[in-house]
Amino acid sequence: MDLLANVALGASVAITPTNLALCLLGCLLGTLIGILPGLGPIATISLLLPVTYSMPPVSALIMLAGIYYGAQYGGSTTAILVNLPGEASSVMTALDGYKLAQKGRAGEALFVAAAGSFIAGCFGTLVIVLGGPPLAEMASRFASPEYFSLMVLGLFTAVVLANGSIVKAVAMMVLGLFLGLVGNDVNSGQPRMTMGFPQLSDGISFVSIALGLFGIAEVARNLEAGIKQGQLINQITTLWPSRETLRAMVKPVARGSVLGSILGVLPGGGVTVASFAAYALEKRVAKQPSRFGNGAIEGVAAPESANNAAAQTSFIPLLTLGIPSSAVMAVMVGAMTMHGIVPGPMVIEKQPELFWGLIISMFIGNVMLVFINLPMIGMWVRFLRVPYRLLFQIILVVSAIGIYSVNNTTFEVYVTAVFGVLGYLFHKFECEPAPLLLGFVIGPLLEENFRRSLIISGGDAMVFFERPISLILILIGVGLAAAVALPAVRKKREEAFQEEAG
Amino acid sequence: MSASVRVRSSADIGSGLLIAAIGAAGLWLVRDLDMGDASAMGPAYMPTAFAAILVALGIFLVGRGLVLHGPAIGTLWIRPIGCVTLAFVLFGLTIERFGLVVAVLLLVTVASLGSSERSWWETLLVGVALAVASSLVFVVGLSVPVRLLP
Repeated sequence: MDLLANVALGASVAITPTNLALCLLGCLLGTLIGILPGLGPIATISLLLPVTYSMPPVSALIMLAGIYYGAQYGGSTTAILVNLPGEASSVMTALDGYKLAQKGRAGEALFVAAAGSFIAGCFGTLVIVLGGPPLAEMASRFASPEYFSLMVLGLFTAVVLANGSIVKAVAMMVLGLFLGLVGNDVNSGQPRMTMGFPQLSDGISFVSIALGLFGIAEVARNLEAGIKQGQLINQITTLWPSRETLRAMVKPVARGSVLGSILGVLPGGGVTVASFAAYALEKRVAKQPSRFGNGAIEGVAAPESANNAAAQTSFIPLLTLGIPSSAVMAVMVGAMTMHGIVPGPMVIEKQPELFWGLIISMFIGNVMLVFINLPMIGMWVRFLRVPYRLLFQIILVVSAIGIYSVNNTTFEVYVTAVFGVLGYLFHKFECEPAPLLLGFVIGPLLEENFRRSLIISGGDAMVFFERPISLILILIGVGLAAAVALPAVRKKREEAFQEEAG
Repeated sequence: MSASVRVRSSADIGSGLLIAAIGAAGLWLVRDLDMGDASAMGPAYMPTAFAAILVALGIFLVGRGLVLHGPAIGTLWIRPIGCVTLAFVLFGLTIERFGLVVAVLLLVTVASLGSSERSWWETLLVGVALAVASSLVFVVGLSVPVRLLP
């Protein structure tokens, strides 16, 4: 069996003392940042990129991936115990999870969240195992026009699924695409938009943009809001769920896993959309929808499963097509590029140890996370008592030194400050910056494939419509864009995001 | 139609102005570069396209904010973002000249001015603790090549 051989290869890579330790470290860090509001996986992974530079690529990816899916576990803890989502993807969990905690069922809610996350995480990883190789096989036959169309489709989807105003999402995306082109032109070598700074000839540093928009701006906003932390933590009595609870969680976990796996693969989908959708679905199929918001166990089980499944399957487009589907995956592209890996269909074929090692580490990581989150819950709760006025100083100091150490230049520290201010303004203007980061990574790829396609065709744009796969991809994209323009769909989309506020 | 022009969504207008300004700056920056044509694109081709879209979207947003009601910009608290940004810039200015310890102390002190709850002794304590910890972790542990003291 081919699959068994691959799994064995993956296990031989993932199960070494170093990689197990890094997987555990990633999961611990992920849980920690998941629990702490105001520090998300995008900023954390960007921050740790320079630190992983000296590691072998697969070890670095194992750790960084662990941070991402680990954060999905940790986020639920804060949501349930303090009614503050530790991550955006735990917003829905807070609705019913906190109510359960107030009724003295905090332990049960935590159990359901962790168990649901575990099952969904394993399911999502299984989806990668089964779906990844055939998809990569298909993608390896893609030429520039197909890639271009695929990216256009991805950008369309990301805009459709983005939170808030569509026009602003498009603007953020295009701004990202534009910023991605800063630096020397690949073909002519001429500097573009560098404003005379030689430091920009390789482009704006990815870490600076990510940390500025998601780290610095967030700190400023939290200071503004006067986040204090450390009060009103619900007590945990027992972690063991009753038989009814166990029975009640089975179907929501299954539905959440499937829905989350699908949404995770879609560009712009990702963990947050998955958890919203899963919650909405449960409410729809429930016999008494009124229980939701008042401590329904399904309201914890489904979104927590969905966000974990999505966290795993969002690796599929990255590992098979080489196209990031979300801002976090854009950071992973940064990580892979830094280690000299070109994300794409060739990864499975040329570096199977990397692909399978990472996949197997995800199974291991999910097992670790159950133990990290359930028996050790008491330790994590203590971190919630750290006041924000200490936390933000730690975030800032680590960010500043981290940014400086990427290339040992102060230039990038200033660039980060600029993007911090921009990120703050975008927030005030209600522009969600995630599409910007996605666009930033896709920008150079898009330009390269667009150029190449049109060189082949001699400047004829029909090349994108004459090739069948490219045509299908474009049609799906246009269909999506048209669907959003329809008033009915538009209303639904707005409703779906309204739930967030509630 | 009484579509009088008035600020109906300051968030839309603000974002529109910012986005259009960035787009315009982009167009200006690539003005001397070769455009080429579709079959052989020059370095300016795609940046010009994106920048032009930005200008268009920015103008659209400004227009929308003048005609349709929408979200308003909340209060802009200059202090937190200002202090955090200034702290970062000061860190950049001092780290190579005066070393990590001074840069971290300065960063922590200035950043603390952006928080609503602060006390001098606590800031000093946190600053010293973080300066020592970061020296150990980054310079001793991860051997980031930067001097510690002036």
